Amino acid sequence: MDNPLVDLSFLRQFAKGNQSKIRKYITFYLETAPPTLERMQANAEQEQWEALAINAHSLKPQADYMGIAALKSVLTDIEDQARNGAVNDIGRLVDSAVQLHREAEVFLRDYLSSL
Amino acid sequence: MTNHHARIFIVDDEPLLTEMLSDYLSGRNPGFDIRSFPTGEACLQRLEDDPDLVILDYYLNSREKEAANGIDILREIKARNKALPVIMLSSQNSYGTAGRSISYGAMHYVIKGQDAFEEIGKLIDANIQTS
Repeated sequence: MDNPLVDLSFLRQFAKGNQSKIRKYITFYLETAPPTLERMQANAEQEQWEALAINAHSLKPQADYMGIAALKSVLTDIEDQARNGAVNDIGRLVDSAVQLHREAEVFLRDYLSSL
Repeated sequence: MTNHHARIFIVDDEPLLTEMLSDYLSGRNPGFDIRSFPTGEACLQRLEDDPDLVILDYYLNSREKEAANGIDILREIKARNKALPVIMLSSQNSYGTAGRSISYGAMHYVIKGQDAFEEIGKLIDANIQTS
């Protein structure tokens, strides 16, 4: 069971196929990513660029471990732009990160159900 | 030093990373005594438990804005115990953050990512003798 947006091969290899660990890691991601993205949306609306960079930075490795490369890439761009003050496009990027997470979340929840 | 039950402190406010790293290190050496802390302040309160090594996130204030960041915690750890090895963790591939970490006494700077677990495991093997 795979998906163009989510590549769980690293997680499977890391957990050595242990389904309870895979479940635990995915559940942690699904619990922590939404509030982080909500904080990022609030940061962008309130022009809190340093906080936005920190929140994008903190979510980036989690996207990496879940194999959501597109989300990791967008988070890298958000962090870079927030740190460099080049924020003209940053609202669109935050919206894109939220959308990518939502699409990945649907797959990850289906995957959890299949375990 | 021969250390059958090395005590490792992991300080990171992201539970996914903490859990994965803890599982990885436990699997690599079941004798490790691994303790996790969501803030640097919580770690400092337990330094008297004499860890053999600390793995410390550079950015510790993504959830709690008032929490001290990793570099401040590193400086405090080194002020209390200069010999305690500290591995600094960050997902930022930056000479600035790496250089700052090393200049304040971190043993190594590891970039968070899929390769970080093995790199940390090797650093621990090299710096804490286990048998």
